[in-house]
Amino acid sequence: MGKIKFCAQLGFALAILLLLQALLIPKYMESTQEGALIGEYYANAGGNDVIFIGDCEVYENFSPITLWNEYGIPSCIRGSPQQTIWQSYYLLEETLRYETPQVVVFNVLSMKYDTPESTGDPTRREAYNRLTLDSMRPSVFKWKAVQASLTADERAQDAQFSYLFPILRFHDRWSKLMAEDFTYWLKKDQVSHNGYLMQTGIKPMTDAHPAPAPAGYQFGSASWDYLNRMERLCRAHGIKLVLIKAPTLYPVWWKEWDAQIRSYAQEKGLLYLNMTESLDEIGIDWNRDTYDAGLHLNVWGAEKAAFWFGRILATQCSLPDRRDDDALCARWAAKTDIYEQQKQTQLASAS
Amino acid sequence: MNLISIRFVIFSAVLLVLYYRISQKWQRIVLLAASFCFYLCAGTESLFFILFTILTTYFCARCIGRNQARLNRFLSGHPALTREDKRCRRDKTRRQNRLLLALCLTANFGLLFFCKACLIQPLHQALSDGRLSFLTLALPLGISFFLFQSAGYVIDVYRGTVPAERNPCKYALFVCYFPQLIQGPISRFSPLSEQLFRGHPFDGKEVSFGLQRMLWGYFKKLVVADRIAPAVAALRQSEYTGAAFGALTLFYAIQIYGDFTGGIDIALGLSQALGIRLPENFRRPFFSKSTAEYWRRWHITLGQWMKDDIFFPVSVSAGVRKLSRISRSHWNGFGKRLPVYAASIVTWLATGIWHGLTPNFVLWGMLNCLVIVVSEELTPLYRRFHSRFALKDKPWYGLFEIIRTFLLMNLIRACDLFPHVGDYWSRVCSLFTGFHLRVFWDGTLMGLGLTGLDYLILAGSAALMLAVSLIQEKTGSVRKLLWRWPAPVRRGLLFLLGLAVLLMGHYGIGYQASSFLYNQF
Amino acid sequence: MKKICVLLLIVCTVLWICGCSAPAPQPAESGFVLTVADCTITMGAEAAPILAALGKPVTVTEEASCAFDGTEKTYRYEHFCLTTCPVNGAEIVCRVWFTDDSLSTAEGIRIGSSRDAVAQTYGGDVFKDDGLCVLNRGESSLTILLTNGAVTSVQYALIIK
Repeated sequence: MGKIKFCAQLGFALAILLLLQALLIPKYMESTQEGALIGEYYANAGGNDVIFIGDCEVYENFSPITLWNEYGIPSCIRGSPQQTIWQSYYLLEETLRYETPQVVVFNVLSMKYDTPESTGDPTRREAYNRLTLDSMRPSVFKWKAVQASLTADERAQDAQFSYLFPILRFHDRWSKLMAEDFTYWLKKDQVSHNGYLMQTGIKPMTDAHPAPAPAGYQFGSASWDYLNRMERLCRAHGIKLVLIKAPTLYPVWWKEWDAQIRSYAQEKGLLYLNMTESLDEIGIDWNRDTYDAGLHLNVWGAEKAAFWFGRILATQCSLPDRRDDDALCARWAAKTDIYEQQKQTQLASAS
Repeated sequence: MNLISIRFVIFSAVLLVLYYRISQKWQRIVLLAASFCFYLCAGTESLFFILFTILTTYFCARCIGRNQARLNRFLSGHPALTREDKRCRRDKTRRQNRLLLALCLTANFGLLFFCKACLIQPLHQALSDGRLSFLTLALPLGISFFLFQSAGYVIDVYRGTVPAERNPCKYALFVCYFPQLIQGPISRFSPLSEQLFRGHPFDGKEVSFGLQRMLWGYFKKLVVADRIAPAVAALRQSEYTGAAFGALTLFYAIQIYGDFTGGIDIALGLSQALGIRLPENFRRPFFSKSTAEYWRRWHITLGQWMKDDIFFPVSVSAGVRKLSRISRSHWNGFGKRLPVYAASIVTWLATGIWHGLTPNFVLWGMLNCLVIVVSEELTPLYRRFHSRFALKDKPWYGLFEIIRTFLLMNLIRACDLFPHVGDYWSRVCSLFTGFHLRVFWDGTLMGLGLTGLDYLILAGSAALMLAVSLIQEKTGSVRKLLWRWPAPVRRGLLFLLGLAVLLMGHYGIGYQASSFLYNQF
Repeated sequence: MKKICVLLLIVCTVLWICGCSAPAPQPAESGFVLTVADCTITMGAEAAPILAALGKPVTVTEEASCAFDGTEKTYRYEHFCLTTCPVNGAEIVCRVWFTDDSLSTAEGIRIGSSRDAVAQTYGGDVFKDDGLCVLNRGESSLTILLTNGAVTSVQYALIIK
């Protein structure tokens, strides 16, 4: 009897801790919605022919709704801000637990970051790590991604445990809680559309963004290692790996980097598309199709990019048109309704 | 490995499970392995120092023990020897043992002295010119503590109070038993070894008590000490004088109490959970009514060590005995006390140097000594005063004594914070020349890195610590009191305490990872 | 026994003398300073007075970062670009790079200078490899890129800790 009581009390204590953790961790519903993207995948897992992996250049620049409506290609984006290549690899490994797509599309910009420290400000790095890793479900892939992503400061403070138990990281938020934390305490809304984060704003790119040359053009060994692992993983699962450089001009995609990826793709027999070379063909209008002066595309730019890319997926990757599947059609019709509704809402609130 | 790190919590949990799962005869091996793992986390260079101390003190004690045994065998085997011959033999053995002891202590304390000296800036520069870099600069983990502990053992063997330990693994465990490595307590060989070397069956109540004590230690360290640390750091700046300096002494008292006693609670709590009772190092020191009493309640084991191994030997040394003869012949009453005062000065000098080789720590030691000596000299005056006014039994007078001692010790303790003695003196003088109470409400305190919420939490925590201390002073153990309550209530209170540590503790990204203050000694 | 003890003492003394040595503490270094048209630019300095002194730029572009507020701004001038970043509500200079060979470093290195000139000026040990030379001074760094033995890029940057 005593043991049962003790177990009940322990269970009660654990429940309180879990509830507290759910309250204290940031919700990413109203601000910094990018933090919710990775976690939203699990509701959309399964039945996707294409999985996009990468940083903001995937989740801002491609509309899965367009891919479906124009080509009948179901897709999902597992993107997050400043997602590094090791995070992309482990996210891909995790994704393959839930489904085996026909094509994986990887945006190669993150090849320029070889170590957590090379991404810049360590404080920002830790914050970006959180946005990518916190909403991953506990798994061995998450643990490996965490271990690969830790900055020196995080490692010194054993921060890896705080990725398993986020309450250890956000324990002091109790004094900074916002209304959003209570509203979305136990149930969250969907902020993305199969991983695509919609932006309807328009901020034209009037001038080119100048950038200094990088200290070295050779990609680091860690980047190549993870790209190779990604390639091997896709090959082992019969998945076609497509390398892309998204159609944005900043950050600069140097020709020296482009040459390395081109050479790699040729060697491995992979399709590589540098979409910055096809901007005219895609139809990007820098006065209308970007919400932040050329860093990312807005919804109109993303639909154009998806339209252009979808044709390649349908022809060169031989992806079938799944619009004969009624269940899929119904699912994607609902997604399209939400998508169009949000577009109208965002436009209405902006005007 | 920091005692407040998650790694240490996991390490302790794994150790506890392993410790009670294996056979009792293997428990000390597990403890020894855990202790070395713990020490290795501080760096392999640090291992050199502790191994050096273990080996030198072990062999020294064995040699002393062997000499003594040889002497005893010889004397019992030659009963016909004259008294003179026997005395010669004894003297010879005593000289040999004294030489061994002196060499051993010189080697080890020289090591401590040198490592502390390396931290002094001018010596850095003097040593670094063209020198080979052989060892890392940082003070080896717990050197002051394990060194005193092993020195105490060798002295005890020399005195014959404990036999030399034959088993090197057992001795190594005594020296490097990890819960006490960071900041004590300093244990004597006899009581500790008996516990370390025997097996311990699982006792749920002891384990529970130990874990509760650890939790309380984490509360004091993470919620109180680390929270107030930025304010202490800020108040050390030169612009904070007068009443702000007074606030510094108070804040530092809270910080060092939370930090030191918190760390000790974690160490003693884990040790209790392992079935090993380490000696208490604190006994509500802020309830002391005099400086002498304070030093019987604060850092008890260091005070005991200093008394046993410095004060008593010095007070019976040839030099002090000679001083005693001279002083008694010149000054009757004071003459009797002077040798004690001389020994006290040496002891407090040693205590100050133990804390640090900089002048402020020497001053700190001398100030404590001065207060004790002066109050000893004024004892007849106090007696006359109390016999006249009969205030001793009044409760408000007891409170007055406590507050007086608290404020005085705060003032002396503030020496720690100012490496330059001149800075310290000018701040003390500013208490009298520029004391303006308005600093407590003119916003000064809000510019020290703490928010209003922080002060509220500190006030609440201080009230809780005071309540716990009062219960302990009056009735004994709070844990035993809680044990008598219904289990759900007890567990609920402990869960709330755990939540307080979890939510209000200063740890993780965004907080300065702070080690314990006494790590530096 | 006495000999062993004396030997032990000697060994300990030797070890003490060898140990605990440390590099002499270095005085705090000031960073790289660039002078452009009588305007002194240092990394980490507040941008407003520098920008006022430099006059109207050719273009100003903002580089937003993913998910975070606060944007870096790049001011393009005739011969160089200057990037500022927001720190604690103020814009500070965090990067400057040359766009042609009109400007030179305080030590005289400019785009087009030879590898030997760089080695003579800054020393041979600053080369990470044939095409990259990095110097750190205080809180700033100077990166010089070379291609085929000639300088192709000169960049100053604030070291982010």
